[in-house]
Amino acid sequence: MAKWNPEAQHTSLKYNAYIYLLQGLFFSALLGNSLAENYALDLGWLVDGVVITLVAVFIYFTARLARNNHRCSGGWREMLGLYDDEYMRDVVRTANSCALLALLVTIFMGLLLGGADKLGFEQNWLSLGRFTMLQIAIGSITWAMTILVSLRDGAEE
Amino acid sequence: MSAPVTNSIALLRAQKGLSQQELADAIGVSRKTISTVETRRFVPSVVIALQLARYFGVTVEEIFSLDEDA
Repeated sequence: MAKWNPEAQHTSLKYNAYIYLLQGLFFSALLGNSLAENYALDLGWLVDGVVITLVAVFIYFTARLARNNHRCSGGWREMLGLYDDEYMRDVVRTANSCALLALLVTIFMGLLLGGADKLGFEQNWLSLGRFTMLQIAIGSITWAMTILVSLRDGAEE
Repeated sequence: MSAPVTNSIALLRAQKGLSQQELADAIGVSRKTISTVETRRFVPSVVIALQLARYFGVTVEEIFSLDEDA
């Protein structure tokens, strides 16, 4: 099996994080639209605009990744995120831990809100769909931001 | 937070007139790995430590040492 170029792994992970960040923003927009319905606000046009922008940015990042990385693609290792460069592995492990922690906190908050039925809160605001969108958004954004902060560019000394 | 291990990679690299990218290519890691090890944000595995020692022709102890102040 050909060795996956370490620099290509760095590029792949960075673009992967951008794509996860876009996914988080996409679900945040959907959640915002869903919550706005409680105020009888029609934000459909705004959500459509955000979604179209995010799709355009997604296509841009995907095309740029394919263009910059096509000579040393990791193939199925890239799809599954099986990095063998040590620092990339360490960054992914850290991001996984942070995302898991963020999801556990979200689930715990959901448990508390779900139990507060005397307030009638969940009847108006909380639904399984909205809670799932919140989880996807929080998990994706946490994972992506951890990766991007860890991989922020430092000038060569 | 920096790791409690100091290293002389930047010094050894400067003596050989190498860039971080050239050193990274020579031992088969990413430039980010070299950069974060040099700035003490990341402590590499024994494998990378041995590869660095072999590349520079020194012992691992000459490259890495415990930070007594940490």
